[in-house]
Amino acid sequence: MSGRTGPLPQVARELGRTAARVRNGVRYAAGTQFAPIGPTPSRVIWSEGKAELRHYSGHGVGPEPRLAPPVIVLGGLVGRSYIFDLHEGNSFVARTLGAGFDTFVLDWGIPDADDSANTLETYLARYFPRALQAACQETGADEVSIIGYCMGGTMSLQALAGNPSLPVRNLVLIATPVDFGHLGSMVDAVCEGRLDPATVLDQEGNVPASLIAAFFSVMKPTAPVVKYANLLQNLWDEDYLRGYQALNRCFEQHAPLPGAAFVQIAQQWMRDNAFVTGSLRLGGRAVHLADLKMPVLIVTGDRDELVPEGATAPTAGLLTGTKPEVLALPAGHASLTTGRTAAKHTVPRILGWLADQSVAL
Amino acid sequence: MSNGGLDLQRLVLRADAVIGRRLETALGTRSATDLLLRGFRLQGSAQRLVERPARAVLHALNMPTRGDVAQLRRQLASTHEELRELSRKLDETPPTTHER
Repeated sequence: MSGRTGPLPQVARELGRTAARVRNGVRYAAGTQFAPIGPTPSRVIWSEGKAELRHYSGHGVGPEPRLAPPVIVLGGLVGRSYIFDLHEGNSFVARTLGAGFDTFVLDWGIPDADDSANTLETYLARYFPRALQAACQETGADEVSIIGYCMGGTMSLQALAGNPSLPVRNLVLIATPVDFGHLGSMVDAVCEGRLDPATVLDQEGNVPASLIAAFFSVMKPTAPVVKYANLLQNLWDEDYLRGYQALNRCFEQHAPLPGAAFVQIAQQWMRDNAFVTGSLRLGGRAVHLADLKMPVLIVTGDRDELVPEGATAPTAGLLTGTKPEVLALPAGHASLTTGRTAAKHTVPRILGWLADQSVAL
Repeated sequence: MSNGGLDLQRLVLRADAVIGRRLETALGTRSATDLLLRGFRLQGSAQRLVERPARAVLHALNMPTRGDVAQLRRQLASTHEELRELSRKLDETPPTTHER
């Protein structure tokens, strides 16, 4: 082996990589799907409007569950739900299934003009309880566990505090903002009244996905350049390309935000900072986070560039009806649920906590 | 060639370390955000301006534009939501008995 340290093998390897870079580059530019969307098999067991609940366990679709209660994973209104099932080898859903949980994903769907009048009540007081009910009916369980990621966690908090009788045994909040005074200049513009929500709605009556993308771009403006430099370096590696395409798809393709819901979010969550000031409302009634009694795990990433510590820090203090556990992990926003860090450190700890709160079937 | 790639990557990472944070700070200022939002609204206005001739032609032919259809769908969605809200309030109202 020591005789092969000369420049020739290295040159040969680099030539091979360059050829692979060109080949993969052409395929990528031509739109080849290196990572199919949502590779883990599932079936839709409930839908209403654009929202749907996908079931990944049992029925010949996925593995038989070993733990109860079932777990429902959900994200926010502007993200795509396939963040939870990126690609083979990097899927939060697959890891949840692997840990033995009966797994569901609640997908809010992509809204259009028909959904522009959807309010927070539509999602939190109508879709959310019905999805929970559907999961219970499907599995015969009396209760479920909820894993809310980012805005999905914020929505879960409001929905559950708005209706404390919902059958939820455990709640996991991953990178969930509650203090909207720490979410960057765009949110500040809403809070200070410099951005009137009605002026950014498109023809369909929704906040266009392009504005949501701009909101994230402003937070990390050089990210695309770094991303492309890394892509160019690793273009020869199909595994890298698969992960890149899947993750890129999630973070570049946002869903529009229904106009009516945005007007409420702008007023309640942002201007009133209602989670922190205790002025939260749902369906015309006051909502108190102190009404939540179930075990809660709050997961934060110390390098989270989208939801910084200040936005998540008050959560534990607001949940006075329970004793929430806080899990501060060395991770960024995405690596709390995806990638190598998630596979090795963050997801096992989250699922470990959930397993401790669950029972064997 | 790999070195070339690595050099580029290192260069980009170094440049990001130097200017990335500054750019974030600059774009995070009040005036930059306002400028961005103004640009976004301007984009919307420009789009409407471009669509105006096509809309005039379609309206002259008594045909709806994409915007008209979208507006109709929005109004319908809004009416649905109002009906749902009324229905919810009716369900919550206790039945009244009329005594004679």
